[in-house]
Amino acid sequence: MSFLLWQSVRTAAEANPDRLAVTDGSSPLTYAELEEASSAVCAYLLAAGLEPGDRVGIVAPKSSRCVASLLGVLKAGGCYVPVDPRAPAARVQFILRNADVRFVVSEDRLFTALDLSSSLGHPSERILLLDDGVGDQGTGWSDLSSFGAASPASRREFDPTYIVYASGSTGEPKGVVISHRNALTFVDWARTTFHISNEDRLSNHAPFHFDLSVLDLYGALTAGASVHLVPDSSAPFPSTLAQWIDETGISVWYSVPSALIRLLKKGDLGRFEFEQLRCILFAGEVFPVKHLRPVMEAFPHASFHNLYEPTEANVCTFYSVPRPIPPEMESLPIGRSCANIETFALSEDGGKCDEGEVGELLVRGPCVMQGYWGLPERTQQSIMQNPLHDDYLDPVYRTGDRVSVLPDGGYSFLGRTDHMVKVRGYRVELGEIEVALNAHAGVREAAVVALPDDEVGATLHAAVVPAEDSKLDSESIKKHCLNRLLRYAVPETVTFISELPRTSTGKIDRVTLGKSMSSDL
Amino acid sequence: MKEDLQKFVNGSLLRGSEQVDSNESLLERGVIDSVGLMQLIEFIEDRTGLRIPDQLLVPENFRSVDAMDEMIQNLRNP
Repeated sequence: MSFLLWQSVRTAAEANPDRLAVTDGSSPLTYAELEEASSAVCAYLLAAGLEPGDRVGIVAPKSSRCVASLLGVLKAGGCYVPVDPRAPAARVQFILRNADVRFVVSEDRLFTALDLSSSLGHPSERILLLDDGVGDQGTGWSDLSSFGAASPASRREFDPTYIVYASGSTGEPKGVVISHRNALTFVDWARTTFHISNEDRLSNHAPFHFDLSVLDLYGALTAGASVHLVPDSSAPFPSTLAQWIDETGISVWYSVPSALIRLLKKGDLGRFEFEQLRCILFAGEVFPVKHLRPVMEAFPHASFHNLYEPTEANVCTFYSVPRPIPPEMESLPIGRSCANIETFALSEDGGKCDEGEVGELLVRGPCVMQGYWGLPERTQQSIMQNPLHDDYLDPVYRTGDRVSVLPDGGYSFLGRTDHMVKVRGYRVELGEIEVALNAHAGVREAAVVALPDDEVGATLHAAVVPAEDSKLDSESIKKHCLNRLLRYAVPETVTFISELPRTSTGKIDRVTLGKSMSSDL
Repeated sequence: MKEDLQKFVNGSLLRGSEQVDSNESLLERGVIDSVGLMQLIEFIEDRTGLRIPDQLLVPENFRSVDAMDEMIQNLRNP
């Protein structure tokens, strides 16, 4: 029986030992090799003192070795915390400290560049470096064989598998804790629904700190299929990426819509037939139908599926796109609930919405996260007792997404109930950017508005009121943001104004501000 | 142009006081993700009035400031 994520991978490995499991282009691993490598990482972690539930920070570009390390952490009974290695050092350090990681998996150069040694103060035996020849700041990959073998640790299905950090409105990212049961509910559903078999080749486009990668990695590795990691260095180049998809014979692709739109606009797709590509999944943001139509024409052999994916509940609804899309369809529904999951919309008066009504989408079932790491109050605001009954304990997750109920029981996404926006599929809290702007000594106050953009979801624009006597220019403000925020969260434009517009209750009037900013562009 | 490009990379794409030489790899530095690439294309097209054709958007042409400069020279003198 498999109720832990690594057990499902082991079952697939035993049935497919000589098949390709994962490749990053330069170092392919068969299933037998992946099992061996992940067991070596497990033995190392246990020998270095990993206790059940210990968090292990993953700060490395994607690679086959990195995938083996994720599995090794799980076998050892740990919980991994993938962090964007391109994030500002302060953010990486914050996440690793916030998650209280006991171990770090990284690369020699990155570990030094991000100053992780002195900022964390871990002894070097708790640092695993994925390079071959490393100095004395950690254990190198080639040293792993000396740790022999170890039996995987015993864990329960409710224990955490990984923690992914998302933008937080207070200016600090918050960690979403996903259990083995949460992850397997999603992975098993995806494998069954999209008929993933050991003949399939899955792409992995999303970085590991973005939870879209969970489907790529475990959808493949629990099916005996292969997962092909798109190297970070070629992912941004549409024409290179299109050629890679065709040459690799990718059969299942999963990404944010904006990556597919970029492929369409700049990938010169007409060169290829993409005969192997049978299934395209997308999530993270709204896919405008006017872009989806030509994308579907460019990939003529693929079925298309819109997955609705609040990180806190993995994927909980989905919609299979009809081919061709009916001419009258203007926006894509997010569809109906996945297996073993119930969703419903709650109206403002607290009742369950009927067809045609608008409310906040709520989710219940084994997909709902364990909580936000170390934030019990924030968790209680998001996960509550099912408001429709009080017969027994029945936690539901409030998505913060406004939806309308469609005649088929599915949903249409209308927007957020708060100030979270999606840029290129990534969650961005406007408050987090405002905290960064206000940290600048020359800024008296600042507000950020998101203007809708049908290629990247939204573009971000800052309005800044300079402090008295301060001379600011937009380049220095952007650089200041870049030093604190992820690249996609840096505002595209910075406008200096003498005062922020306010509502009668004294709050920043974002509607007026948004209108004036969009007319200035 | 090469100097402007280097200034832009150091000033607007790299964090803090990080700097690169014109022959240093930007791909390994993690400067070029989809947002960074878009900013570079916009900067080059704005400054030169050229349009970079889609088939030139490949890692080899953006791997360093030198490589971008060479691409621009070739576009100017076909």
